[in-house]
Amino acid sequence: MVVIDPDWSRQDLINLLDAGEWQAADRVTQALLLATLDHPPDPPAFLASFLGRSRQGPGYLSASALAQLPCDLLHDLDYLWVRASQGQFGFSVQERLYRQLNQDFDSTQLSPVNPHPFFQAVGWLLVTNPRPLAFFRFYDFLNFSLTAPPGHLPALWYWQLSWLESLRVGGFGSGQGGGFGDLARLDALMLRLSRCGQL
Amino acid sequence: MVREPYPVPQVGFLIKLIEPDLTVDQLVEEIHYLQADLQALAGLGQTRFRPLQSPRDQDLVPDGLQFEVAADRLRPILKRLCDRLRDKPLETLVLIQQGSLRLQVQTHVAEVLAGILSAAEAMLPPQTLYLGKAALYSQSQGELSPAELANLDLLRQHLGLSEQEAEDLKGIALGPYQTLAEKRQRFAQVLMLELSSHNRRPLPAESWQVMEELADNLGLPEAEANQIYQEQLHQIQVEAEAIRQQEMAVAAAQAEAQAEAEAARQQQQQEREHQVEQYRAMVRQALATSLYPPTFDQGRLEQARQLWQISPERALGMEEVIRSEIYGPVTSELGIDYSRLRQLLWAQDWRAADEETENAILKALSPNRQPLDREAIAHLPCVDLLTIDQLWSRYSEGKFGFRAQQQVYQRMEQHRANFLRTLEWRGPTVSLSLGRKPYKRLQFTDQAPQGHLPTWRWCCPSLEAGYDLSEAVVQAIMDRLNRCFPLDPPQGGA
Repeated sequence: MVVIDPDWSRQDLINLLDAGEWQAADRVTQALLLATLDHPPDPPAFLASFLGRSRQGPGYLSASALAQLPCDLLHDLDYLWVRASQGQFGFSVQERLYRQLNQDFDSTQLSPVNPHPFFQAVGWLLVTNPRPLAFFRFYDFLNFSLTAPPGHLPALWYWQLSWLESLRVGGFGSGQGGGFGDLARLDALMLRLSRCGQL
Repeated sequence: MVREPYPVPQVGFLIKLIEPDLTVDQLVEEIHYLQADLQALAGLGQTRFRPLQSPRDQDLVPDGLQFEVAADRLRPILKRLCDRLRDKPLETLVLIQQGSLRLQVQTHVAEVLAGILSAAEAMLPPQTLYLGKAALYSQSQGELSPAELANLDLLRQHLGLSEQEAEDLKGIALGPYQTLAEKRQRFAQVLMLELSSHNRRPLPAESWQVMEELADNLGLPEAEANQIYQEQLHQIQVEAEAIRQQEMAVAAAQAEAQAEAEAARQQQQQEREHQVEQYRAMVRQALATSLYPPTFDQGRLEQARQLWQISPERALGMEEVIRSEIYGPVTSELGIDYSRLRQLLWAQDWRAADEETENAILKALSPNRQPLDREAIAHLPCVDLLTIDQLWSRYSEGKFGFRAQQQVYQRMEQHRANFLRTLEWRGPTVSLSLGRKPYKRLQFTDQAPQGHLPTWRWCCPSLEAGYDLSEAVVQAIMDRLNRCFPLDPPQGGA
C-alpha cells in the first residue's frame, strides 16, 4: 500500500518533476487528484484498516470519481508532466494513445491473453514477450525514467485501488499489480479528458 | 348727457294736447308717438317724461307730457313740434319755463309755434344758446362747415358775445377733437382697441352701446360711427379671411408634401419588401438542396444582398429562419447552438451527432463537463429536449429521438432491463458480461432499432467497459421526459 501525504502542493510536484523524481511526482499527482474528491464519512477504525483505506478519505479513484475530476486540474497536471518529460509522460499522451488503440479493439473480447493494446503500449504489463499477457506489473517495478515507453506515467491513478477493488481485478489486495486491467476506470479518465478537451 | 362742466341751464317743458275732437284712444296714441318722437331727438334719449292726465268721461286720460331738458335742446324740440303741427294740426298747449320766466302758447298752426322760437331763445343766456347751436352743428356733421361757421358768427354778433368767448364755446361744443377727421380717428382707435379686446369679433350689444356713447360724447354722428364700425368689421373679416386662406394654403401644401412623402415611402417600402422577398426566395432556393449552400450559391446570395442593401445580420437572420423552416428549429432555453447537431443529423452522421448531443447537453447543464446525475437530469430544459428530439426524429423519420425512447419504455411497461434490451443497448444476458455492450458496439446506422439513438452517454462516467444505465438514471430521464412531453392517455382504456 502506497502511503501519500495529503498535504502535497503543486509546487512540490513542479520541484519533483524538475528533479526527475518521477515516482515521487506520480505520488504527488495522485495526492492532488484525490484531494479534489468529496470525502465520504470516515469508516470506523477497524473497518478502515479492513478496507485498506486511510482515514483521510477514499484511497483510490473509482470510475465515477474519475468522471468528475476538475478539468482545470487535469489540464494543469498534464501540462506540468508533458513539459518536464518533453512530451514523454502525461495524461494527454495517454489519451492520444488510447484513442488510436481503442478504435479497433473489441472490449468484449478482453481476456488474460487478449489485453487492451493500450496497456501493452504504455508498458504496464508484466509479460509482453513473446506474447502479451494481461497481468499488470507491481507499482514499484514500473520504469520511473525517461527510457520508459511514451504514456508510461503517470500511473498511480490507475494502480491505486481499495483492497476489495484490488481483489476484484485479480490483484493481491494491494492495487493493480498482478491483476487484470479494468477497462471502466481506464475509459472513465480517457472520456473525462476528452470531455474536458471540449471546453 | 354728461358732456362738459359748462353749466347748461335746464328748461322745463309742458306739452298738452287739447284738441277736443280726439277720442280717448287717439289721444293715448298721439301722446305715445309724441314721446317717441321727442325721445328720438339727439340728447333726449335719457330724458324722463312725466305723463299728464286729465279727467274725461269720469276717467283719467293721458293728454300731455312734462319734462326737463338742457336749454340748448330748446330749438330742436320746438322745431320737431312745429313739424308735427305742420303734419297734423292738433290744438296744442306748449309751456316753456326757464328760471322764473315762462312762455306759453296754444295753437294748431306750426308757424305760430315757430314764431315763439326766438322769444324762447331770448329767455336763455346767450352763452347757452351759442353753445347749443354749436353743439347741434357739430353733432350733425362732426365738425363745423363754413356755412355753419358763418351762421355761428352771425349768432355771436346777434347775441353780443365776444369773439374769444365764442371760440371757447365752439371748442366746448366740438370737444377735444375738433375736426371730424380727428373724431373719426379717435373713434376708430378706441373701436380697434375694443374690438381687439373682444378677439376681433363683432361687439356685443352692451359694448356697442358704450361705443355709441363715445361717439355721442365725441360729437361724432351715429351714422359715421356705424360706418367706421362696419368698415373695421369688414377689415377684420378681410384680414381674417386672408389669414385663413393663407393658413389653408400652407396646410394644403403641407398635406400635399406629406402625402407625397408618404407615397414615396410606401413605394420605397414596397420595393424594399419586394427585394427582401426576392432575396428570401433566393435563400430558400439555395437552401432547398443543401443545409449549407455551396460557394456558388453563397456568392450569388452575397451579390444580391449587397445589391439590395440588406444588412448582413438581417440576411443571416433570414437565412436562419428559412433554414429552421426547412431543416427544423434549433431553439434553446440555455443559449445552446444546435445548428452543428442539425448539420450532423442532416448529413446522417449518427455517431458524430450522438457525440454532439452529449456536447450540447453538457455544455448547457454541466459547466465542468461532468456527466449528469439525477438532480441535473431533473433540470434538463424542456425546450432543449424538444429541439433535440425533433431534430433526431426529423432526420430519422421518427425512428430516433427521446419520444421514440419514451414510447418504447411505455410499451415495455417501464421495465428497465426489457427497455434496454429492446433498444438494443444491451445484448442477450447469456454472456459473462451480462449482455453489456461497449458504446462503440452500438449501431450508428439507420438500421438501428426504434429509439436506439440518441444514447444517454451524457449520464455515463465511462463507455467502454459497457454502455450501461442504472435504474436510477433511467427513472430520472423518463420522469423528465414524461414531464416535458406528457404521453397521450392509453388508447382503448387498456
